[in-house]
Amino acid sequence: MANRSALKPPAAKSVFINCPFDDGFKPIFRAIVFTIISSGYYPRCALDATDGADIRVSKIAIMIGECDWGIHDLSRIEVDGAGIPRFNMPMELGLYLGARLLGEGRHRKKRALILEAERHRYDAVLSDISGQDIEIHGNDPDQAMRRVRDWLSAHRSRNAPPLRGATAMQANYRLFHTQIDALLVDFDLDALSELTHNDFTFAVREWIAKQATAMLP
Amino acid sequence: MATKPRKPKRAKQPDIFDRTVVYYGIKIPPFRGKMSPTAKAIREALRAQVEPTRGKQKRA
Repeated sequence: MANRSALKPPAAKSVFINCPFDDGFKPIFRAIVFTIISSGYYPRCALDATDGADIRVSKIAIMIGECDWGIHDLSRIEVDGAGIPRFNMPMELGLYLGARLLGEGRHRKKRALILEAERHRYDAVLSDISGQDIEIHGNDPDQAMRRVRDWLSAHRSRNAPPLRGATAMQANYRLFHTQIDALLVDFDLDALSELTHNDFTFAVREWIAKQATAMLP
Repeated sequence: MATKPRKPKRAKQPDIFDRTVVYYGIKIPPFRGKMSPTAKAIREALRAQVEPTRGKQKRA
């Protein structure tokens, strides 16, 4: 029997996340991951393969090929202390849009959500993306959750059950934080904010499974 | 002597943490990645939170 954990998630349920992985962006990134899992999808990102940000472009391209959904955050492309802008996110967005435009079959149906911190800032730095689904999160994790939830909801099939509202998801995320942080303290483990990406993803999914079980009659 | 036909065994229900669960109408698939020792500890702690409750309900 194939190892269950080694199975790749189906592309139709996989959401590629293209965003910075630094500590400053972590609250937004993790809020996005929580929203994706709560909505019944699989979050995929470069951290799945390694917990360092150093990953080859070929691996990213393969991952993009395995995801029908993509979230691209362009809110952190400003110049850093050394006066150098960050090009990783626009480059991965380009790869993703390239797959949609030039790929065949399923790739042509890829959906992309582009997130920015401020309205119309992208016009100045990347005007070619005008006309795409671009939403603003204002550097607020709650707003990022709402944008991602609304985007996933808008593209669900007509017969699919509705996703929970963003406010309910945000409340759930706070409850998750409280309960998992307490559990980690009890077991002398690192705090939630210190967990690796894989452990965080795992904790979200298992916590939801526990909540679902508690609701059974 | 004819042997008694064996009663078919009921398939064992997979662990709630290994199967798709339904939460507010949404199917949440199981985690598909490598489970670290930290992840295993989180799972066992959450399992411990679920199982004692069920035990108490049966005894009542």
